[in-house]
Amino acid sequence: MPTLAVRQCVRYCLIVSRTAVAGRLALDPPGSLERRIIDAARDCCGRYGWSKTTLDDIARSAGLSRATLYRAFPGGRAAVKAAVTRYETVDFFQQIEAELVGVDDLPTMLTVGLTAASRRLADDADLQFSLQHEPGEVLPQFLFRGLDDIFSLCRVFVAPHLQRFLGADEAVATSELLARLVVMHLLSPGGSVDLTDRSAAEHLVRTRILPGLAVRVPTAPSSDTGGAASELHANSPAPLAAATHGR
Amino acid sequence: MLVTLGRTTVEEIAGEAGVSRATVYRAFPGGREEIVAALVDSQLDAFFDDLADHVRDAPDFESMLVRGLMHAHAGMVDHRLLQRVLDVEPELVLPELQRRSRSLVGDIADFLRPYLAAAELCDDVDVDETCRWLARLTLSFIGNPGSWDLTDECETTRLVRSQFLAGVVRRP
Repeated sequence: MPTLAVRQCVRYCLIVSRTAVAGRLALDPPGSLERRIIDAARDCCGRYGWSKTTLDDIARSAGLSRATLYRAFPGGRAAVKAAVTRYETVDFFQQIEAELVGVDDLPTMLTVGLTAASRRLADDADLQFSLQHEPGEVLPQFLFRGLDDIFSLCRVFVAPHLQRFLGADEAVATSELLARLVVMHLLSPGGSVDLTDRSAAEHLVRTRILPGLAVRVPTAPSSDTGGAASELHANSPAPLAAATHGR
Repeated sequence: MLVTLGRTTVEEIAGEAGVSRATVYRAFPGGREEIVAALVDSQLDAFFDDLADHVRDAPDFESMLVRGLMHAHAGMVDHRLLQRVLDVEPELVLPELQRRSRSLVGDIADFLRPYLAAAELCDDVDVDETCRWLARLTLSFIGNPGSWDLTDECETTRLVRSQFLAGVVRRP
């Protein structure tokens, strides 16, 4: 059956590209020098906040000399901070992805993505402390160019799961929309919708996200209705030409 | 501006303006931080006044959003001072922008309200809530368009239809 062959091919391509990107995203393994420094820096940040954490604090907490620390991170404090941000962001997306794996329908997947991400950020005491008391230290991760990293991780960790229900370009566009909504909620909680609340998130998905999507029927035993699904949606967005290119 | 904000001292600002340091502090008792805040305010006002002028006579709500996103995106990319600050010291200006975003959302929502109210709406659309939603989305896309090409009118129209107005405005 040709459809099945195509499906398998798409899945294979996805896995291959996914593995290629994930290789670059691998977290430093526990016990490595880098990881020891990252853990120490996170510990310091949790205690004093970023603005009051010095390189000496990090070295002392890691039980390393400044020289060793510089050998691992020649860029010094800024490089350690960038590594911590990266570590935390990749770790965050891995946790979110784990929540998406078993979900079997699109509305639930969108809802779970929004609530899991928003709750995790709301419960992150260090992040909330920084947003409150030293916003300059963390806002660059979430605004303007900072969103580039978040969007590219969305393409790796979230879009492939949405692709079970959506075309590739639409899956990317939707994963980015989810990220926008989560960041909007993080930076101005108490705005219109509380995304940590499951029913509020469900309502948002139903009224604001699903109407803009051309939903693909996930597994179609009666394959003769294949083309009907997309015709039902007059405002299905055409493929997003630039969807996967780096900006 | 030759030097960046964070490294600019009140003395340098006073020298550039041809006034004494004391005069600067009389106008801005908070010193450099207050000057940065005032600069952000004035730049934002100019940016959004220009944006409002650009979209005011759009033929319908959809083209208003399309036009607005494209114009704002171009304005952002061309804003040399903002781009420079984002390059060199985002930590200085982002908290100020974030502080202003709440009132910006209100201002954009107020601007959109009469136009949205005049459009043919889907069932159960709350105009006030939807305006604030659209305002927040607009700010998000101005800050970073993600994989959407906001220099392309067709693509921006697709974006507005799928992520802004689906479920909000009825399409003919």
